Amino acid sequence: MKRRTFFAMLILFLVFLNSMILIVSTVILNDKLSADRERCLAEHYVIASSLIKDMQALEQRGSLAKENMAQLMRSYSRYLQGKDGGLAVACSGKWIYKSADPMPAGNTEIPPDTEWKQERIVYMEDEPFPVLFVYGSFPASWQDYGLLYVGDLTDTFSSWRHTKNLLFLMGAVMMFVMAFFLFQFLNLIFRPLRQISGASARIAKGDYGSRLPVRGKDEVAGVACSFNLMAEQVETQIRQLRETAEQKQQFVDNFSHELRIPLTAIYGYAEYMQKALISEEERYECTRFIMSECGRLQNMANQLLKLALLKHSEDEPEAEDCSVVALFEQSAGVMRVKAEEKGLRLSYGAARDFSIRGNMEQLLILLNNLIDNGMKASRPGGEIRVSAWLKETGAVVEVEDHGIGMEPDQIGHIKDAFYRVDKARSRAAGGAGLGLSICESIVRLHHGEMTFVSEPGKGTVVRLYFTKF
Amino acid sequence: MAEILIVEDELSINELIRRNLNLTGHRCTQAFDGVSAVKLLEDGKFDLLVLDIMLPGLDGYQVFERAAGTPTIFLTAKSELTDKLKGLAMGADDYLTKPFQMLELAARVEAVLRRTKKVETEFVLGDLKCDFDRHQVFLGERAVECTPKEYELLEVLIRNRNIALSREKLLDLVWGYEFDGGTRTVDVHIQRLRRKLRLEDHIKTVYKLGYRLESNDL
Repeated sequence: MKRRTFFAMLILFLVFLNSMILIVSTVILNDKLSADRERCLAEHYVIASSLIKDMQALEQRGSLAKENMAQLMRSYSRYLQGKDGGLAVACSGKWIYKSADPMPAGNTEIPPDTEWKQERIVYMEDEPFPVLFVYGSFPASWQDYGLLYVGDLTDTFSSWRHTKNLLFLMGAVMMFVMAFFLFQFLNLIFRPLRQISGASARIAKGDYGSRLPVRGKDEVAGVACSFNLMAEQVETQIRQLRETAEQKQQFVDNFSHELRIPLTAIYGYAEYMQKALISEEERYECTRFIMSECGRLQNMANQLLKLALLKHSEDEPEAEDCSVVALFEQSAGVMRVKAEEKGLRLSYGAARDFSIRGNMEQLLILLNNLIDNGMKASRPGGEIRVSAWLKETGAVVEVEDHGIGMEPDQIGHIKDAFYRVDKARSRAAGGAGLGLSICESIVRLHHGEMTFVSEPGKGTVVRLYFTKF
Repeated sequence: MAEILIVEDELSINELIRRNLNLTGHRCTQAFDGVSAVKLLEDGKFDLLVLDIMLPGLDGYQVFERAAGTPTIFLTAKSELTDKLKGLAMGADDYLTKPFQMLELAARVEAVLRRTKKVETEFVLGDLKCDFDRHQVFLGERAVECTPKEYELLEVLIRNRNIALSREKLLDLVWGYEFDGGTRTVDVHIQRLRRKLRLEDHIKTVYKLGYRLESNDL
């Protein structure tokens, strides 16, 4: 594309340049020739008129002009010899005088009754050098006589040739200069295209961060802008895909890891019972381990199912106005018993009743999960406080415990599936590590937000925000 | 008989390993997190460390760095090659991936102990005495002549005592994979051992499984 444009423009330029040079040199030649013609005519006239005067003077003195012609013409001839010119005089169609020998012999057929000051220009192609002939017959009383003036044009032609050659030489130089600038110019013009193709190739190779520089406000800048926009979209999409894939991979890794522990224990104890010599007491212990590990697997399966159902329910949960007081009452019915078993105090407090738009069942799971987490983190005799209030932007529900708390880097991971702050403790309490993943899904379905404030050794505050509908 | 420290945060798996190692006559100490494991390592001398990688407190690698050259078998739930390589590159003697089998655990523990010369050199059961260094068997003061295969079979049974071994497994361990005789060979050799060494009460036939050498050192 670039090469074609380059050659097309160069050829066009050359045609224009050379035809201009041709026209200019022709005009110059014509100008010079017409100037020479004028000069030759003028000189012919001057010489002819003074020759007539000389001839008249001779006739009056009684001598024949015809016989003394060589003498008469000598001074004129000498004058013209300096200019490489020549003179010839004819009388009754015959040459009676020639100033120099290289005279055009073939062109001396002068018609006797030619008009006075009749002149013609003859360009002799076969001559070694170009000359201009001016022939004119004399007026009335001397009409037998005629003067031939030969003007030399070599100088004119050689200077014209010189000028012409110079012009063509300059043309050739101009061509190279033009070619150079044209090349640079096309490079400049085609640079955005080159950049676009380079950037596309980079993106195709996987360098999604590649962008084009945007300069000015022309069409090229517009193209660059839309290209960048496209690249941005592609990058974002790829990143999202990658993140999703990573999350899924992480989930699968964690899941298989989680499965391995109960499986190792179940298989191990079964094999032990089969192959080792064991007492009744050991048999009891082994079966107890197998059963508790099965229970853990079952719990994990239940939680996973719950999570899967929540994650795949694309549409909103059946929304209703859920009274906070009713929610707290239902939660208390289940959780108070658990709290008493563990020797914990559990208190609910809402300044006044208001409603949260959402699904009662899911909100209850969410709240109970958070309270459960608080109970797991609490030391015996600890207290868990659940409170709710209304803000301008929406409703806030808070679950506060005074348990072991979390390190800041742990908070970043708690929403990940199968992550446990305290592995040993949580497993002993029968957790599958999916509680907060479920909570997060429920909160997202309610367009809410869940934040954690925690300090190691002091406790954790979980705050739920529900925006107004 | 070796002193083994088991570091594993899962109670059920820790117990399982302890029971298995007790069967083959090792004494076990249990730790459930990295910090207490390091403390136990500072206080006492252990012949072998069975170490889980994912531990609360200090992780397995950190515990290993503080273990000061105690032979170590890493226990990992991750089967990723990088984890195995990291453990081995740090100088661990072996690794075991969960889930594992009893015989695999016993064999790897045995192999590491043999490498570190912590393996028992003789085994006594009643009148029977087996000298592993000289490959000799005594009944009371009298040396008993055994064929090489009989001796190997006895050693395998002793090394995996209290664990039932199938006939196929015994065939593999004693005769090797190339042997194409049937499992009857095992039965014949077991009968001979029982008779020669008066082990009728100790080498038990386990229903549907195979044979188990029972020792009362549990």
